[in-house]
Amino acid sequence: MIAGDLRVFLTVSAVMFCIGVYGILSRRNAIGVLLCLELMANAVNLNLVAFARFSTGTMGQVFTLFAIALTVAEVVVGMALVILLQRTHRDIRLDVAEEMRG
Amino acid sequence: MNAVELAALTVLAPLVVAVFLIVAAPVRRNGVLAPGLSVLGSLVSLVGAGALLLRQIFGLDPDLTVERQWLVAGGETVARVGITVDGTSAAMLAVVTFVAAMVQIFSLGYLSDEPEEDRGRYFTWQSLFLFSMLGLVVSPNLLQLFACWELVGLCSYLLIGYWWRKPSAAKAAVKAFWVTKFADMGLLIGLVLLYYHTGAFEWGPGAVEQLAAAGSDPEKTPWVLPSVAVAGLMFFAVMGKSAQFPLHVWLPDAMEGPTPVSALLHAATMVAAGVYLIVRAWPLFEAAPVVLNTMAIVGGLTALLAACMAIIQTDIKRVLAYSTASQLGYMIAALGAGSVLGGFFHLTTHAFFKALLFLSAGSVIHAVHTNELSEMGGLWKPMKLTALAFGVGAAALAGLPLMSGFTSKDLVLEGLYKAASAPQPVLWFPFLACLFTVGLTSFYMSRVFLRAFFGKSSRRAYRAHEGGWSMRVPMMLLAVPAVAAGWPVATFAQTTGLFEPHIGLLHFTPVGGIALGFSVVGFAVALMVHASGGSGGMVSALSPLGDLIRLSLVDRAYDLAYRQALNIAAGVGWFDRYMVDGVVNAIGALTLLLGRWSRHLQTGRVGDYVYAVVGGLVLLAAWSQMISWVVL
Amino acid sequence: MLEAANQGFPILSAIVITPLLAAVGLLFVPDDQRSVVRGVSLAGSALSALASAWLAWRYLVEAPQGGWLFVEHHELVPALGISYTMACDGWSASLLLLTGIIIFAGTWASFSLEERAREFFIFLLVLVAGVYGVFVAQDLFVFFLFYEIAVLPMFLLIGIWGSSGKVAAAGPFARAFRMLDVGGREYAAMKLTLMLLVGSALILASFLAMALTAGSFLMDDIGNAALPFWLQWFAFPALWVGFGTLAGLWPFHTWSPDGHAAAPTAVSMLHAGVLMKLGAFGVMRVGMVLLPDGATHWAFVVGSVACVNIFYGAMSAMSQQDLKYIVAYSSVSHMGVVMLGAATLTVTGWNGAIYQMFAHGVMTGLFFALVGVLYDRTHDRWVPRMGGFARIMPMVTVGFVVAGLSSLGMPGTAGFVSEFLVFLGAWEVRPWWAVIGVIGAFVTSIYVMKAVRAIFFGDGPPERFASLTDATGTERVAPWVLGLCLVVFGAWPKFLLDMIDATTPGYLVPIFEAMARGAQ
Repeated sequence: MIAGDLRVFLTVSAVMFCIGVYGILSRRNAIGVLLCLELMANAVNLNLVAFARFSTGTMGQVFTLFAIALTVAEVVVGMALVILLQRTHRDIRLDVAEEMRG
Repeated sequence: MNAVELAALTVLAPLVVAVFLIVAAPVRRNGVLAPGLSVLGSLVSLVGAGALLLRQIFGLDPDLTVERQWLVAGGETVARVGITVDGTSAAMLAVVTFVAAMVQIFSLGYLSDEPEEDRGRYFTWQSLFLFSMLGLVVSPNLLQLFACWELVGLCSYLLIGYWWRKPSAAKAAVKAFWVTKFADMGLLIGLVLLYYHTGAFEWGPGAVEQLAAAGSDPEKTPWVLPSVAVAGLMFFAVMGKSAQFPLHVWLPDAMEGPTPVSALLHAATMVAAGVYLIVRAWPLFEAAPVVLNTMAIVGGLTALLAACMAIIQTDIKRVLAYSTASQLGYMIAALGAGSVLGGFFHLTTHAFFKALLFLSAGSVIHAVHTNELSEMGGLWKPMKLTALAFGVGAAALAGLPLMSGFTSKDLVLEGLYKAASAPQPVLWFPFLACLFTVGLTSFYMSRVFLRAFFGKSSRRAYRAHEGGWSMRVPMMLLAVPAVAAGWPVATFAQTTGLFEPHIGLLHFTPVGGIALGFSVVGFAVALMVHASGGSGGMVSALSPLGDLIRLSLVDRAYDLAYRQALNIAAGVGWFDRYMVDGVVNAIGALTLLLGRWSRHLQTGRVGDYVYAVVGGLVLLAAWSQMISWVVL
Repeated sequence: MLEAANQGFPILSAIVITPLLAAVGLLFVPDDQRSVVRGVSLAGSALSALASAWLAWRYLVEAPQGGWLFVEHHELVPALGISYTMACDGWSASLLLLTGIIIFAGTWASFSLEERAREFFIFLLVLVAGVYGVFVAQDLFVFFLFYEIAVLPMFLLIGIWGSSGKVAAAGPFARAFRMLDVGGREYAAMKLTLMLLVGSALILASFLAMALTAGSFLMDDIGNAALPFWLQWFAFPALWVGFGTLAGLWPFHTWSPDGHAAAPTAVSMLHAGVLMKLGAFGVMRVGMVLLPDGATHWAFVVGSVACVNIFYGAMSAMSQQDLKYIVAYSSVSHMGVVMLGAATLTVTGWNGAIYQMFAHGVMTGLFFALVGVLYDRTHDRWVPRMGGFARIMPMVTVGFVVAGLSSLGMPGTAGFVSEFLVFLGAWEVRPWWAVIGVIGAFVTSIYVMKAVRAIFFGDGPPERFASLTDATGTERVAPWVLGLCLVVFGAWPKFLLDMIDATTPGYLVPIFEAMARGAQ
């Protein structure tokens, strides 16, 4: 019974993750990519919380808190990058930035 | 003082002087102090050595050896250094210190025109040279002997290269160094071999027994008997040091050094070291008859060839140089024939008269500023003392009766004759060669003497004059033993423990009589040639022979070997740079190329990277699924 | 060994830390106060040198029969068996002394450096701290740590302060030569670092294999653990090649000529004088002592390659026209003598090998110091363009001849003692090893004397060099110190040899046991 409940959470998380992946692959707008990235990260967070709920110990929840804090930081950096992109290229579509081409 | 302390004083006095002069630069650069200290050091040594010899002659001292540990391995002594005092070393010490002191005093005058700094350097090396030779003489074992042997070679290098500004002197110095170093490889390997078999560097009967035992050990059957290998390798080094054919090439070139250096080098130190090694380590040589026979033949050959070379020289010093090689051939031949007394005694007398010859030649060169015999002539009038000294030396070298050279040469020839008729037929060659060489020696020495001091006076002879006291006194002092050193042959034999019953007060044998005949003939021919207006014809008649010996065969062979070695080295250098290092660089370049190619994978588009990540994820998942299928 | 740990003043750590403290101190000195910079670095190097001399003396007094002194032991990661363990035996003591002498002389020799002197000395002192550490560390983890500290600053020291030459592209790999700036200082620094790091990777892998199998990083524990033969069989060659790369092992030596030629004076001195010894020390102390079965199994290969080193290095040196390359190749040849002595697995051979490390360290330090003096003045390293320099540089001449004599094994210099001991040991094992060694010494005499004649004697000096001066002031210290050491330790080797000999037999015990096992 319990296992069944866990499966629900995992399914939701997997769906969220896949939506995130699809978004990253299909969107050209940097902010959109960032949003999808968040979606993926939250899918993972959901996983962690779910596992923590259905097993002993609170380690998973603690980690999730850490992960959320980290995600915030990551968004900050990401947004900063987006702003920089806008400044330098006057555009926030990702395929305009290819300075790293070898 | 006991004998060892006295010997230590004798040996260390020049070392102290040398070290002091090396360290104290201002003293070294002082034109009075440096030579003074150096001469003082050698005089102290001379006194010490003289006292030691007297005490040995009168049997006041037992044979003594004092040693200290020098090298260790696993707590066991590998090598020692020390001092050994016996008749042999005492006699040699006396000869070396006497000749060295005379040479140094002579150098005071001879080099008086040199810059002070150079003179300081010269006397520093002289002191070091003397120390090295004395250390060699008192060596209680072969390792110390080898160490001093190398130092002697080093000092020769330094002194031959005294006028290093002259490219020819620098070249001659390095040539001497290389040739003797090449030969020294033999001694080094011989030492290692000796240690391997005996666990020490001794030359006594014990070592001989151990070598013999190692040779008869059925478990390790060497392809050459250890005793023969050790003696043979050591003899190879002697050939280099004592200028035996074909390793004699450095000796004539060594004339680039100042004349007193040649006197020291040719009389008492450098070349004497080789013969002394054989005398000292005689038990090791005695145990290897094959090596002894080789020695006799090499010695005889050298005596003959070098005498031929001496005939065609036009440079007074080169005549003497080749005569040294020739006389060393006598010593080696005598030792090869088993006559230690003959070889050692000839070494002693030769030291005196050859030093005398070189010093008087130096006096001549100092006066006329040339080495060429053709520019001398008629020097008897301005330089009577030098002429007399040279005459005495030449007479001793040629082996006139009552002269020192006569007795020692007689012993050599007698030893050879006895050994040849023992019978060892192979020794007839060295005997006959040495006998014939007596005539040649007499001829070339007479020729030089007549040519330099008599006949038409050259332009340079008018301005010639004797040197100062410092040049005259050593000549006079050296003339005494050059004449008389042969007389106390019995005492010499007793002191050095080489006494043979038939040696009387004055030694004379029928063989000596024949030799005297050769000598007289040689002198007569020289006189005739001189009377008929110079020896130019003689020289030109003989020079093809000389070319054959000197240039075509030996020198050219060395030149070729050196060039080939350089070529091979250049090949190795190229191989290292462009093959070994080439591979390294190729790997580096390959990495660069790989990077250049793989950078095209980096498109710089974020999307592409994400595709790669997701693709990788999918592949990973697929792989893990496959694994689980395979495992289940 | 650990019983007597942590008693008394931690002198070994102090020796390691002194140069580091000086380096840290230099960070706070303004760059333009050159005399302060010099003073602090000299204090650091002189103090550590003095301490190592004192250590050597104490060792002779307190442990004439060998054994460990001044043991320090602190746990670092007990779970993995990693500890900070320092101890000193006869080998360490003599090599510490060498390091002290070289860094002292090297500091004096770098006083003429003008550009970024402070940073230079910082790196130099850090490097020396690493060298000191390697010689006394008894824990493989710490050993490796120090080893890398010693190797890595070299990249910056050569890359920033080095000098460049030019090498023509030729041969089958000419294209590679054109792609790389062969002979340049960046090239030399990069090549040296990369080749040594490849060696380090091998070392690290073997260290891990050894330590994890034995359950401890402590050398003693590993030695007692009797590692299985298969492990020793592959770990020993890995260590040999890994450490050997630093010791100039043929054919992994090619970083050495380029690196030493490009490096500034003190760096060459330190690198050829001490760092190459780290490699040989590693092969002997870690490779052979801790892996005795592997060592006996591979000894023939090690010795034979050492012979190649000796002869090949000497021939290469003979073919060079660039002064620094001559000296660098002579190092390759002489390190071959060390490896030959190590490969003999005999007491004489090992004594000779350690002594040769010392002798060659001092000798090559002297060589590079003098070459530095020459190069400072001429800005030229091409021997055929020189000549007659004895006229203007008598002191350099004398020093060069002394170093040359030691390198060709002249009795009375330290080189003779070591080479002779090595030959004695080599003959016991394989006579032809000794014969090649002797021939190598002869070839050395050819190229050394050839160089001496070409540079210092004969006509000259050429006009553009005529106004040059001899070594002056601070430049004279290094030649004097090093030259004296060569002669003193050559004439009276007992001091050093007793110290080495106290330790060698103990290290050979496992080797002899392994030989006995192998013979069965």
